[in-house]
Amino acid sequence: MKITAPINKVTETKALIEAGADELYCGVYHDKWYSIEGRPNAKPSSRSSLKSFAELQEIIKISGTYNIPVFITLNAAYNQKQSFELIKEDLKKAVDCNVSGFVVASIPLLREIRKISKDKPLILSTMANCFNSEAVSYYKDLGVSRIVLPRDLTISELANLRDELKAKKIDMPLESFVLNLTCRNVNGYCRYHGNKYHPASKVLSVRILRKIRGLLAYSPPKFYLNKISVIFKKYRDYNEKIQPCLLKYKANFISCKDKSKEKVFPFWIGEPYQAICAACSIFYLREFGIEYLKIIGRWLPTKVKIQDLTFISSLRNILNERSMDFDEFFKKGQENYRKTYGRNCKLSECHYASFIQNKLNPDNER
Amino acid sequence: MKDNRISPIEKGIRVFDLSNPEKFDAYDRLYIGDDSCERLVPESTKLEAILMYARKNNKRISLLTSYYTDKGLKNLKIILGILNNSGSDIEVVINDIGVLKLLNSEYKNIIPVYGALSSSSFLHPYANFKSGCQGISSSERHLLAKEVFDFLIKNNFKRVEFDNITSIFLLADSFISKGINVSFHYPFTFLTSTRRCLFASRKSISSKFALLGCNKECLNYRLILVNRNLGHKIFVRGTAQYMRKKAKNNLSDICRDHGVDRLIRSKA
Repeated sequence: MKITAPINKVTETKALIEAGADELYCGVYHDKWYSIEGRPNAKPSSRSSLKSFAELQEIIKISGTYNIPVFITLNAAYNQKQSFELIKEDLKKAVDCNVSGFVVASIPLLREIRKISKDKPLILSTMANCFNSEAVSYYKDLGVSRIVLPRDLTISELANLRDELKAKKIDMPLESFVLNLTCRNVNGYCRYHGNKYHPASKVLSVRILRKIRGLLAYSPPKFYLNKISVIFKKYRDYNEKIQPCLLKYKANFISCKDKSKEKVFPFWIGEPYQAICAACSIFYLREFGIEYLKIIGRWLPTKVKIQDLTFISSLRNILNERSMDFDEFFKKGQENYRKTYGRNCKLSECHYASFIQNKLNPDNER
Repeated sequence: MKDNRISPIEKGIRVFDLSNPEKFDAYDRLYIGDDSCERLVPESTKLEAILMYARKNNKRISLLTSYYTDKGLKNLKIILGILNNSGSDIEVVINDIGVLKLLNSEYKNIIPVYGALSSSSFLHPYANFKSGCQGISSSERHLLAKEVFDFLIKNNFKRVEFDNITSIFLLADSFISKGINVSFHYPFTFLTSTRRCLFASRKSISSKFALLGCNKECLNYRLILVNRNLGHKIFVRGTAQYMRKKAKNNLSDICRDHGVDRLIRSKA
């Protein structure tokens, strides 16, 4: 099993490779994307991505010395004419940088890539919502060489998918998320993800106006113009971070029969936590023949990325060293979690909590 | 002016069962199934009863489909088999590429329709006319790429469905000019979908991380979520979350003006 790790800074390349990354993936969010509809990849905030293709080239140069491939994520929808034209430009630049392959979600873009670059591997992003073997077969026909599975599939559904693919004789390498799964909604269908028009931004705009007013009063013209553009960029990033799924709600459950109301507060529709972990699933992923383990978290500090890589590669090494049952692996996993992060792992931060519980206490199975 | 702009608008309604059939009198088309949860595929006996009712009362049928795991797809195939043998004007609203593959390969009598969940990626539900800026009009800013239409045409889509009124103003014309008809679902605009059922977890918030078993609680409850900062309520139906986006003028007039030839009403 290979580990695919996120990167968003040139300076962290060497450290991530030395911590155990077998592949790197990144996005490029340059200035042109600020002025049009759409975004260059699935990550809403520009701080998750590199700022230019020069940075990408630098990363490819460093990783090349270690023989580590670098993939670029072009996994937004690009339905608008402007964004499609711009992503085509980016695509050519990425090919010029000699990127190892592309992580893509849009079918029109898959076709476009095949026109420009016939031999580069195409990885289907989780944003494409590939839930079943029929969809895998469709994408295989389009030239996709690996599929990142939706994080919403349960372990038994993953097993089922693998069985169906075997039965249909579809040979397709699969990739699954193992760490920092923060989202509860189906990524490819979620319109909370990366919106620019969120109503809560009205609250923020008052703060922005105050800042600008302050600058106008105390700063010379050239200086404040530069400052304003910086503030607007920050504002946009901040605005995109406020997703409706991270808010706390008052929930009213209304019975259809007697119209009685049941109120629940606070009610979360997203994950208020950041580091949802699916590391123990590696045991089963290996059994199902899933070849690639993906770590999420392009936006995270280098220190955390290194911790994540150390943790996941330690678990993989445990499985490679000798065969064991799940109970033993789970205990080793907990031990390594404690060693790496300096705290115990919690069931509340476990992506497959009910599955793990059932495996450890089969008597409680529902 | 195109022909479809002066022809009457076809009216559709989402139907779960035939408990109150008189409610459907005013509608020409029945939308069955659900477009957000694979567990809400209609049972074959229920489907056959609806098909019989539709034949008797001269109603047309569309099946809403969601995204499916292989297990869900097996259940769906039974329904698709029945629909494939039930006439030539039956539509299936597609929101999963796997279902499209199935239809184009095995169920060729069924007409594929591009669903509202998928088409919501064409225009963000929060997008409005003001989102045009920097000297570019919002219709120009949201103009769709030629490749999007190529994809739809190549995959035999003759109809696309929207549930966002802004899409009617900004996008409907471009589809109609390419020969693709446009339907509009009201009054809810799709926001997101999850596989962790909010209804099933209502009694046990502590187990919110678990993928819970399904007792179809969503059919017995409605869920409305309120947060003042958000500026609108969230309506949860099945596993999908919606907002209510009202049109300022008469909806039928707007649709007629923009060439939309079908209006579908959905209950909360």
